Amino acid sequence: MRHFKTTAAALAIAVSAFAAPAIAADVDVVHWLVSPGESKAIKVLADATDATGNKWVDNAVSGGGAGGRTIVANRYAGGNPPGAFYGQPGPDMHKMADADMLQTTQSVADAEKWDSVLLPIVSQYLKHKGQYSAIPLGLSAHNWMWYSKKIFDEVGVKPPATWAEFIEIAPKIKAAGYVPLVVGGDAWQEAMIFRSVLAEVGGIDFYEKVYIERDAEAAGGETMVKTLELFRKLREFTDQGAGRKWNDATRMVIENKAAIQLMGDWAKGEFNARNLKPQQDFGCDLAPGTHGTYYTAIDVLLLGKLADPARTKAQMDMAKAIVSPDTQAKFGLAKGEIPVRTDVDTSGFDACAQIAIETVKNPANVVPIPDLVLSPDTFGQINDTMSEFWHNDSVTTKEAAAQIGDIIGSAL
Amino acid sequence: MTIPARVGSILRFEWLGATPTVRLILAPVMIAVFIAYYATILWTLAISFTSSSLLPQYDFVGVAQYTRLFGFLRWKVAFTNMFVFGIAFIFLTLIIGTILAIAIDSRVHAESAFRTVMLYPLSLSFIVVGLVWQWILDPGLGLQAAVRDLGFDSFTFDWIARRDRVVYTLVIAAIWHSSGLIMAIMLAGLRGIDREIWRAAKVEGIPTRRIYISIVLPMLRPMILTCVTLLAVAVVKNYELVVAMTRGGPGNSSDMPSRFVVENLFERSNIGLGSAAAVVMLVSILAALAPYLYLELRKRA
Amino acid sequence: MSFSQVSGEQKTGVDIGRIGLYAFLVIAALYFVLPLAIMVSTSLKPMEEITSGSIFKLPSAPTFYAWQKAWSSACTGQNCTGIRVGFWNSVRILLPSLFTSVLLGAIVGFALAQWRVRGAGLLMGMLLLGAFIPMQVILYPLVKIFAFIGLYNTLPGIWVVHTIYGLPIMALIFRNFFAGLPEELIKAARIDGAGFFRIFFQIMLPMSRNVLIVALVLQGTGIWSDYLLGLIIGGAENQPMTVQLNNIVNSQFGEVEYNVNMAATLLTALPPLILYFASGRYFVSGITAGAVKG
Repeated sequence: MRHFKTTAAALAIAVSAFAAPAIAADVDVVHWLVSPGESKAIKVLADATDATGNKWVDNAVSGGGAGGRTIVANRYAGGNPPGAFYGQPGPDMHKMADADMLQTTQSVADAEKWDSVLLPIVSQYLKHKGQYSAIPLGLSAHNWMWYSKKIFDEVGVKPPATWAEFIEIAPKIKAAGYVPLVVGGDAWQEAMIFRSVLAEVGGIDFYEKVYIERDAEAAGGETMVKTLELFRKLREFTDQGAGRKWNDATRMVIENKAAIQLMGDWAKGEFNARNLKPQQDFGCDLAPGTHGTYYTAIDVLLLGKLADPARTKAQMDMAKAIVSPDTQAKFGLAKGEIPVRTDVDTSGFDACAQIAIETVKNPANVVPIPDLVLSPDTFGQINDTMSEFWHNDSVTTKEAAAQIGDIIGSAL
Repeated sequence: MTIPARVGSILRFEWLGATPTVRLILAPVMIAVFIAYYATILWTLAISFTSSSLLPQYDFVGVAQYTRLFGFLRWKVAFTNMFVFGIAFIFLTLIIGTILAIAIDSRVHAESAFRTVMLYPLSLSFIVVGLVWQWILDPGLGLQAAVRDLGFDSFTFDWIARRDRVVYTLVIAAIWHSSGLIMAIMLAGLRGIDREIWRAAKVEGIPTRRIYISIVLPMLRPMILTCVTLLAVAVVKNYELVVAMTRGGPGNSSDMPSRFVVENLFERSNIGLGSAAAVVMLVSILAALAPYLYLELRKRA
Repeated sequence: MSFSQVSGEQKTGVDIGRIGLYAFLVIAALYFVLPLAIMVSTSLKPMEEITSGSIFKLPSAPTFYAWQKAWSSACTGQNCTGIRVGFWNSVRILLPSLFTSVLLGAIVGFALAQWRVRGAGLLMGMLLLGAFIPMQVILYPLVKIFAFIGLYNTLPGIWVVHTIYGLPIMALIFRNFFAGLPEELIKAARIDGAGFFRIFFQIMLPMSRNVLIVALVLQGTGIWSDYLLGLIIGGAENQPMTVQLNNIVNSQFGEVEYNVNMAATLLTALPPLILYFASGRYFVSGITAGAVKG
């Protein structure tokens, strides 16, 4: 009897110790999502993290590469790695994982069955040597076409599904006094057009050959030459957008001065801010030449390797909270992305997002953007060459194709 | 001296000369400077001989990064741009600043107002000012559009959209930023010249222009030296100007080594290449300046 | 001293010349004022007017909405408290750094100018080389060094960095000034038995009031406008105003409010601007006193 009471008491204490909540810790997150719209999305993640009993400490620094990544690199140099930081699961992630700089999320993946619940492409790219090495936030597409319904209705043509169609109708749009295709002044904006032209000329197979398989011969060959020819033809249907930022270009579509713009899904924020409804006040569709394909970026949080087990547990709690269906839905709605899980209720997403959700249902339709497969150096060089070709008429298609072939061939 | 005594003497910085107090001050300063500047430069130099990409790697690959660097069309453009920009900027700012100084020196009313108007650009950082200049120079938004609206339909000023002219738009904004400082420096120099010299020259019947060119300006050589140094520093550090105004565009035609270096270091995960570019940039600027500095510093000795 | 004062030319010639002179100055002034005018005017317009109208038009109904928002409610990430948050951080970074960097520059400049240091020219040259190094290039090794000595992520760390990196230009200015002073002055003081610091504090500093103002203005502007060092070396609690400004202005993928950006930039530039307006007179006479003579 005495034994039983003592044992029971001991058991009770032991059980209560196990049931006690974990010590709450901070997760400091470095990111560059500072615009009002993006901040709403971050708030979703921050709230989800705080709800686990831990605390999201926000370290927002705008300026993408030169700002946020500088901080991350220097925090590691100073011996104080960040709890989490925003990024893409590309070659750099693998380099960092190799250098033992990242905390894996495999334990959460096992517990939450990520392998069966996440979209295949997410699982594929998040794994380093078989271990999940990041927290997926959402999928965002880079091959959207945003267009002015008003202009197309007025001119009486359908929005183009291919560039061949575009070249036919563009002169009519130009004659009516509008800019058929509006581009900004950055190489990455021109690159979006380039990649969709590439897909039209060579098909998705060619895209994969060049960017994923890194086939230097294909990258420098005839198909590339044809791509560049078509790419150059588009130039006469743009205007002299000197150094224009992407959102100024979007504004031209909003104000019905330009017919189409190729831009990622963050452009939706510009329309939303003016209370314009997709497919009613403006049009969205996948870019010409890329119908049925989703050029995906995968937004993730990478986790620094921390010494304090309480902080590591906080990171794992955060991972679980962010990948929960509820948070995924909320984040996707706030940021204009689509969830990484297949079991999220997406009925509340707008018309454009529904196109995306439909497309990604078939894994074969989902293709990674070059950032996920090529080193920033390589696709940076390709952008340099492509941009030079776009602006400089004295560069021949053969020269440019040869250069691209060389770059892919020497890609590390 | 015996060897231990020599070492002690060296360690006490006796080779610096001057008094013990001065040595006590200068020694730690020199050490801190050496570490802060030269250790870091040497590290950059060392990394430029490695294959470092995202993270520093201490393998030795010889001059591979340098060879790679000069194979880039973009680098060649940026490097040339630096000299075109630098020469135009330094010369024009010097000339404009000096002319402004001479003008202000002529006892104008509201001198203080004019002076402040020319000096204030120094206090504005380029992140947003660069954008304003972009607006002013944009053919659709700025000067060209405004003048055309006034009726001059054929007025064209689209340099910022032209690959062969865009560098000069950077020069325009940079002159705006720095000529006030040059004006202030040259003005002070002018005011420091003895009025006797003016009188003597006038008595001799020398025309005004000759006085300025042959007498006054040579006396201002030390001022000019300082101006050139400050302006050369601004040329090397023009990263914010380029990023804010043209982002290197159109294409990469207005790229500068400063932007090339930063982009490769931080966005393209190319630490080795970025370091090599930084070394080349520094060495070339100093090589360009060295003869001038040597002449000027020697003369005053 | 102007030429026309001494020459006593005929009045009519001078008049036409002076009209031309004033015309030239006014045109030059327009060139300088134009960007500022556009910034102020844009900051007083609502966004619809900015996107639909010319940048050269004055606001039709000026409003201080952008200024209020920039100061107290603009979002810099999760915090929507405007740039005033960074203001006191910038002050805390500025004052100690300014004091130490100007003082050290004066001491080093004085030592190199008048105390017969062997290789003074070479030392000055080595210091000047430092002025040319872009900060981004040496950031990584700098952080490692600072982490090693324990100053990384601290406020004193930023003070040290600003002091060391302001030294070249500060030392140059003071060295040039002190080199222009007569040697006899210092010789006489030394014969009287005064040491380095007594001469420095009791004789040199009082004489160099104007040069001090020059150095304070130049270095003050430099430190106040600094973005990178405060961001990297300072630690999360010590972020200067320029970081808030950059967050407001540079958001890459979101909506851009140009009027708020202009207002935020002008607010951030106010302290240096005020310093320039207030010290303009001293600035020029400071240089006159030989600050930048060879």
